Amino acid sequence: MTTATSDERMTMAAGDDRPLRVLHYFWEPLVLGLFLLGATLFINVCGGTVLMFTMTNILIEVVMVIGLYIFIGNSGIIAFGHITYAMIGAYADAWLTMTPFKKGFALSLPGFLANNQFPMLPAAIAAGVFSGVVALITALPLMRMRGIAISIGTFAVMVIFNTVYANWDAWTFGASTLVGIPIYVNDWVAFGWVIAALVVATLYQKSRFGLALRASRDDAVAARASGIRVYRERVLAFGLSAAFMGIGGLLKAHFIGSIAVSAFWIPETFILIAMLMIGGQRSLTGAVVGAVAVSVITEVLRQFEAGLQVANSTVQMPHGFSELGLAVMMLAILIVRSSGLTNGREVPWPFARRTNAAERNRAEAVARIEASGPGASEATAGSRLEARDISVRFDGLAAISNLNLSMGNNEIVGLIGPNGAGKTTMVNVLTGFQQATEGDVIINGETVTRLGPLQRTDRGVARTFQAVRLFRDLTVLENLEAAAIGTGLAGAAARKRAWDVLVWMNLDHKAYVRANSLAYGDERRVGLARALAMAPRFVFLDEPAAGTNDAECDELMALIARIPKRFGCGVLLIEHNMRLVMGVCDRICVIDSGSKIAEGAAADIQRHPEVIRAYLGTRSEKSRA
Amino acid sequence: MLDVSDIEVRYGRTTAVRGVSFSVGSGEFVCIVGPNGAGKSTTMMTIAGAQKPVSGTVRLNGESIGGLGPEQIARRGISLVPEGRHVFSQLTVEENIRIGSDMRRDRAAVAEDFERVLAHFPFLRQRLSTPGGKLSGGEQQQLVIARALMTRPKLMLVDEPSLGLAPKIVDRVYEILNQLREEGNTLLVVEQSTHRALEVADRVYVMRNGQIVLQGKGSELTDGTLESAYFGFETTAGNAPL
Amino acid sequence: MQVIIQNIIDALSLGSLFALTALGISLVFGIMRLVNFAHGDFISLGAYALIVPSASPTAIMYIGNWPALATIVAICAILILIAIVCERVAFKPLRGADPSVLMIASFAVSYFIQNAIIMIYGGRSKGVDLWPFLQVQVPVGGIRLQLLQLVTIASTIILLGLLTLFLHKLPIGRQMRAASENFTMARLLGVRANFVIAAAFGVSGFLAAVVSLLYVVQRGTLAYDVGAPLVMAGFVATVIGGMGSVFGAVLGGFFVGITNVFFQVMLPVSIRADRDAFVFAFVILILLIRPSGLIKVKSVEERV
Repeated sequence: MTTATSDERMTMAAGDDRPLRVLHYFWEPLVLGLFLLGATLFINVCGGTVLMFTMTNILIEVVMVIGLYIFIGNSGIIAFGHITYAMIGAYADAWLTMTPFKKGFALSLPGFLANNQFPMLPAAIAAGVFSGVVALITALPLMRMRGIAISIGTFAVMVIFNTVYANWDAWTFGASTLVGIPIYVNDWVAFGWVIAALVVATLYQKSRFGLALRASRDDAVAARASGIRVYRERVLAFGLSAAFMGIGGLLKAHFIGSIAVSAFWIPETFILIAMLMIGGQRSLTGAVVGAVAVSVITEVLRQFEAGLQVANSTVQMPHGFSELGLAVMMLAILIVRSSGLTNGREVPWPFARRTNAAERNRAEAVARIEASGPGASEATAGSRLEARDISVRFDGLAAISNLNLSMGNNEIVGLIGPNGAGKTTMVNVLTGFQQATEGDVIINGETVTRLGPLQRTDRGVARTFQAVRLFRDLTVLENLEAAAIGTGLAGAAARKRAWDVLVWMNLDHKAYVRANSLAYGDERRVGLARALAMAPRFVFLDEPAAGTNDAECDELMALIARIPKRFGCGVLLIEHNMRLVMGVCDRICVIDSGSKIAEGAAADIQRHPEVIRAYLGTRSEKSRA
Repeated sequence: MLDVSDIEVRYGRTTAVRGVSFSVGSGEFVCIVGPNGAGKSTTMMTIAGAQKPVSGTVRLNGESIGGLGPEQIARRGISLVPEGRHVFSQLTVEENIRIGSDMRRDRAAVAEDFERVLAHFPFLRQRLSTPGGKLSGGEQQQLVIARALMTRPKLMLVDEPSLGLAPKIVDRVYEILNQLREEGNTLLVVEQSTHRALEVADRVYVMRNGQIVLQGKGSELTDGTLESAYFGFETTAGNAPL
Repeated sequence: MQVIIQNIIDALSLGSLFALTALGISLVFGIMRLVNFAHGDFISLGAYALIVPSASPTAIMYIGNWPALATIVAICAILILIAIVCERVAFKPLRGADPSVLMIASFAVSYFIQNAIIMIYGGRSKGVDLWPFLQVQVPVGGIRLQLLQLVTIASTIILLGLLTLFLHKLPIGRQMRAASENFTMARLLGVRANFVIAAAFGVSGFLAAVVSLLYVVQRGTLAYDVGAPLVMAGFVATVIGGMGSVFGAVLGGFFVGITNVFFQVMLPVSIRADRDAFVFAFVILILLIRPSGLIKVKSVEERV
């Protein structure tokens, strides 16, 4: 029933499989690079100058689309104005590489730039970095926005930069075309930069920064609840991606020999976005496939514009036909398959999974569990969480009134109450997603009331969600790794912890399954595992038994019961399922209409008349008479 | 009048409702009770067309309405007052009420209904030009019932009318629902408070975990059976008076 | 004195066009959460519909030569039709999709329309002379003002009045407002989704028609991207006013018009051409402080 990635088959290969692992790590750049290499070689041998010209263009577009992908693909946010960084890079590079004579003709640059000409490669790198830095600065305010406001903001930034550049006569020659840029880019130079872009994009998306960002792409709220610094990751990705846009821009400049501000405007930005969307915005493969496919199809359509011999007649389409074709293609993909031609998948890995490292991780985790068991240590003993006199008011209505709650990290406490009683609000207050109007939240003696979710996770607080909110496109292992990364671990340490939790929860055989192909029961267990992968001191479980039958509920009970001992982590359980609550909690708090109406051991709560009344309601005044 | 047969409804990959069958006869007042997450609201939304069942049928007077859109089902005479009221806060009270009758062609009857609705809820007459968002919770609850009445429904669905309201206001709301029943309307109500449901309803269904676990006439159900159905086990309160 | 009044009239006249554009964008956004990039191209189409479809560099007036009333009716009808067709073909299949997907789709529609214009009418700008009688100056009080500007301001006021009546007095208007607020609830009360959405697009097409006519008289040139600066200002206005708020869009439009003229007057000549940049920088500032715009309406983000 589960759709595994091709990575699922595990075999024990003899000896050190390091070469295989490196191959796996760089698989996409390798395959895509070879493909493009083949195409370029072929054109060089068989094609004429026109085809080579087209090929170079395609390769330059690939560089830019990869740049675009680094941000859009990993963050899920559409940047509409990215082409402006190509413009910035192109002009920056022009300032560095044009001869002083030609510069003096059109521009009035400061002495340092006006009188010097720098070598091509260092200048290209410098210009790329420059674009990246400018983008980083613009990203600082942009990424503070939410939702579609960011996309509109990137569009606004493009207009700002383009307007400024179009009027900045001294530095850019204004709206006129700046000519005299040294031409050195041919298809091999472009190809070289494509390889660079592929490698950097891969290194980024497989790094912990890329993983963290991809987690936020799937679910920003869950990412923040897992400790991921979403803002920071978005800013970084934006800068990196703009650097490659800058490179693409300057490659174009050194290919054509001239640049104009008008060449970096809305039609060009549309084409790039179209390439990425059509190929598949969620994968590097998609970016390359999209760029190539769209370029090829556009070329074919342009041939129709020039007049093509079909059967016995000449078919000639009016000028502009290829652009219309592109627009239609784009709409079609959005409607029919919005994940693009590649469906968001990368180049498939045809061999068995790189196994030794994975198998070794798993075996080590098993050994660790069997040897000592508890992850609890003296260091985490005796942690205490306290909610003191918490009140939360929305628009004058009290959702919670003077609620007191206290627990240690060795307990399982239940929080129950009818619908609308304030349970989820309470969890939000404890985890920092909601500010209390009055009262304090204290963790280990430290008052954390005014701190946000990220600071809370730093202090050992984790939660699950009613709707689970897994990172859908990541594998189970990656889901846990992302959470571990959120608590500050990196690389091997994050992976080790992820494996530990997976093995403990008997989910290790599903490690490489994509989260959105899990069965519902497994999905919820992975949600719990993800929270535990943060090695928290307190974990809040929001209706973990929703939708379970009795057998599943009992399994869950057994699991939750072992958490405090194994992880040194206290559990606060918000539930409606009485079987679970009565079966596993040391202590139960009952709230109704925002106030605590009872607290005690399961046996006491069960027969508490107030509790039963709260759930079942009373007879109305009329009939009580 | 309403025949729900073996429906299964999913949210994403969660099955919220499975194998649920029940019926509501013309003129009846039927209640669905149960703990949260039981699937009661999902069931209501499915009948009204805001959700589509994966399998099973929903029939209104024999006609299958399972896959239809909400506006089509509304035009066939089912009106839902959803959980959380959902007053159009930017529209005035009068506009809120009139939206209900916009789909009708019978002008004279609409005018008649408008007067009738204001007779049921006299306080609305003074507030006709107040934006809906400015009303209190209890007033809003009455407004949305008025709004639903303007569609002249054959079957009225009300989801948790007592949520977030003070007991006295809830009493008033139920007075009105009772009146409606006496006028011959057919009502299907999801109610949090089981005991209130038992008082007013002709029949009660208890849902838990997406399924119906108990059904019967209000007078027949004891506290004990109700609680064990509700909670999933015996509580020791048994038959103690509340 | 003359100068100040002239500046005010400039600001109001410009603001009127922006307000009407923003209104068209905002109506659609309110109902469907769609930021319609193609709105500017509707405006361009309205302008091009005035002439004979041909790629020749000189424009031959066709519909533009009809009696004024007939021209107005014709252009309005054409754009209403085009807007509704676009909705059916491009946006209906995407109903319920992510706002950013919808935005990209509108981007594609915009690209399509622009290139279709280039295909039919050629890529070079053409001069047109529509209703030259509006270019005269009229004495008002002791000052001379351009008739066109007065007509622009007057028609905007009238249209805003009509639209308010439409939204508040007619059933379809109130259904549109209800649907804007809570689409599902409206449907549960029998409001037809397709009808309401088509109405929103229809009205937005109508508004685009009015803007295109006024703009063409003012500009005297047709270019395939003649609507671009308007739609950008329209976005700015919508965002500033608060996405989804019709009143906010109008407010935003006048705000942008005033800002624009203000910058034009106040900025040193050397950077006056950059004033678009300033206006946009302003947008970002507003979005930072109040991501939902000046008028608080539905936000487009998540809740826990």
